Amino acid sequence: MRTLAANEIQKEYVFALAGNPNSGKTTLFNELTGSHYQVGNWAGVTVERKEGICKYAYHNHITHFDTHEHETEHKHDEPHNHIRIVDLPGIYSLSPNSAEEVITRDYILKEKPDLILNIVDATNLERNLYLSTQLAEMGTPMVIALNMMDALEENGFSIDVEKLEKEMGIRIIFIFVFKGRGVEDLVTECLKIASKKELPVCPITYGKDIENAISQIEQEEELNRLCSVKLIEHDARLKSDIKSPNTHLILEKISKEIPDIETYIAQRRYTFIKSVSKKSVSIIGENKQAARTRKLDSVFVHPILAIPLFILIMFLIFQITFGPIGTYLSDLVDNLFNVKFASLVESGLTAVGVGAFAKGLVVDGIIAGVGGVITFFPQIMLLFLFLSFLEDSGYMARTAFIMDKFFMKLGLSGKSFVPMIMGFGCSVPAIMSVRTLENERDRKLTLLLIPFMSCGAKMPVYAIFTAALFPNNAGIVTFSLYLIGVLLGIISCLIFSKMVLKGDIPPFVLELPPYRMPTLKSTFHHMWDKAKDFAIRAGTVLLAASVIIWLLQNLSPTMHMVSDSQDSIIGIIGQFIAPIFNPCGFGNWQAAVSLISGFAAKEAVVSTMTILYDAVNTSGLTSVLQNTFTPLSAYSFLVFVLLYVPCVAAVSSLKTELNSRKLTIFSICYQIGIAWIMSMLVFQIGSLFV
Amino acid sequence: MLTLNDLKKNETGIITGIALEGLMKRRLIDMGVTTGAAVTMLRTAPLGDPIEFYILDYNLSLRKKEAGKIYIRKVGEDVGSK
Repeated sequence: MRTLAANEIQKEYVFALAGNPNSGKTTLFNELTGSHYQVGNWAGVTVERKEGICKYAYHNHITHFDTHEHETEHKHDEPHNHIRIVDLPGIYSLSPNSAEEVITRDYILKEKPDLILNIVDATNLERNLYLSTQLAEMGTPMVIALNMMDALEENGFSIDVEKLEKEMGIRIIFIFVFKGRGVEDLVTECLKIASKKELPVCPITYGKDIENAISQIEQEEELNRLCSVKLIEHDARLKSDIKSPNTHLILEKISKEIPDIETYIAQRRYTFIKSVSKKSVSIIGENKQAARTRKLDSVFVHPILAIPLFILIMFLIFQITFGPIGTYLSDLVDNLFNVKFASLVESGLTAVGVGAFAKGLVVDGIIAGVGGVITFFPQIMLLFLFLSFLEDSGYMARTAFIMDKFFMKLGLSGKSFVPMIMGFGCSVPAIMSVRTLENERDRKLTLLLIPFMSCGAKMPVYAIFTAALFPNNAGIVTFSLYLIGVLLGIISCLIFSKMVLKGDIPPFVLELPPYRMPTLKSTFHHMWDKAKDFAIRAGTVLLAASVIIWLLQNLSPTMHMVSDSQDSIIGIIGQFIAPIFNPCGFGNWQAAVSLISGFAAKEAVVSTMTILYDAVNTSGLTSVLQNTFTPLSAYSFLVFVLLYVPCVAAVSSLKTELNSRKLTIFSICYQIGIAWIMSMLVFQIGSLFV
Repeated sequence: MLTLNDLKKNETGIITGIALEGLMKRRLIDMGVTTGAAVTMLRTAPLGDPIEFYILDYNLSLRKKEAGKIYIRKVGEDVGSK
């Protein structure tokens, strides 16, 4: 046992937030921390780790809302505690079946938080309490936050909280987290229990033989009750750490007596939970929530209507995001940043007498480069707004249900579908949304697939080329490109799942949560959560990339400013690598350079060509393209643009989400390789017929 | 022996055994799919797989492959509400 430090009451408390997926855990975390939190990854895995400081301060046993006005006052107060909240992944059990469950268990075991704050969805009490019964055996102070009590009446039952608390042996506070109510009381109670180090009572017993075994293992192995139980359940991770030979004997004896021990233990837990719920839950009417969910599902998951409806919803989202509304907002930002702000800076720099080099770097390099990406910001916000809504409302889980059969054949699950669809808009949010998949293998495979979905920024390239060389068949040509992307994505996925990411196909067990109307506040919070990453990246990685590309475009190898970009570093590189594209039919240096600058942003392919071919405007470029490219070499070029490595923003998010340098490099090489092979095949085979 | 795949829409069965191993079994147990639990079939996905069930007050979807290894005995018609 740890000894208590005398001043422990005043130290910083750490509360670990644990609970089932869809239980309101994220909303509670946001409510507790306000916007003061950091996002990272748990070591070694791509599971998001969020940590924040609780904004509720503790003072004289009453919790205050910690606003900035209070902050100075508090500095003179002694009992003002800081609480660090660590958001653990949403899980159903501590088994551990998945990276998420391992993280949760290891965190509580190794980092010993002062308290486990377990959020429980009152409308789904029995399954949620299953996790609680396991958390309670960890030997850590614990409080249950019973959420969605306000939805109970709609669900047709009521809970006697006092009775439930008594039966469970765990302190229970009910909250209405979607309305932000009850959270202050919750924090006050948590602090009380954490400072008293009050442990939950474990009322579950597993029968005399197992109880004996548990207490023996607890002593032999110095494990807590949960781990001892898990060891009896043949937990492979714990088995490898067994210290005492006696433990092996105990385990052997148990498994002889009860062959299917896993089911036995789970049943003991569920039997206990059933008896608890029998005593504390009473039915008071009809379950309107379930009825409503069923009614909505009869439309959204209808055998015939489901897929057309899904396509319609996606179409509307794309239409708003990338159509008139999104474009209007984009243009607004474009005008503000790239025109107004740029000219302001330019005239400012001219006024203070800055030289052409520095001015070019700031205005044409940094502002134009970062601006090109910031322009997409409104569209990304819109896209995330809709997707957050779909996710929070419960519809997203249905799309996985609808599309699963198709993805099963690719070695994926239906949960990969939405990120892939988003890839047609912009790879960056698509890659970021892969976080919502719960399985690591699914995540990696989906991430490798997203670059095959032709992103919105490639549209301008297709548009200018089809207008110049396929004026009568623009639609068919563009559509064929999207199709090639999807088909190659499917083929690659089959290859990846068999060769690169071998391993068992993870079990598909999907909870379809009840439909809920998300509050405006939580949807916006959710949206901002995701969009923030994009904003940070625009300010860091993209800023650096823009500077580098501008320098390469304007400096000669001897570090002098050049007037003709043919003599610039990038121009020389272009001329050097251009022959590589001879077999593909576009071995000129301008095309090569434009592909390089396409790495900064895909639409830069067009703007670079405009500069390099000395075309004044779009119609000028059209006629140059007609003279430089044949329809065949143009198509081959477009196939290359479609498939080659995504832009630097996408690659940097890819690296963050894959959390593996090796796989990121693999993805880059694979995309470039397949792009070259495909466009070479198009040109060579095409040449036989033309 | 009947399995979850033999349940028609709105029919309820009581689980009598699970012929799955390892991770999948563990996962199902943790989600409340254990011997003795009542399961109501809600619907099949538009493409024919997976299937949505009602268990322990929530909706769970399983693929046919796994549902075919969960044995049940039928208990009359039930709309599944509490």
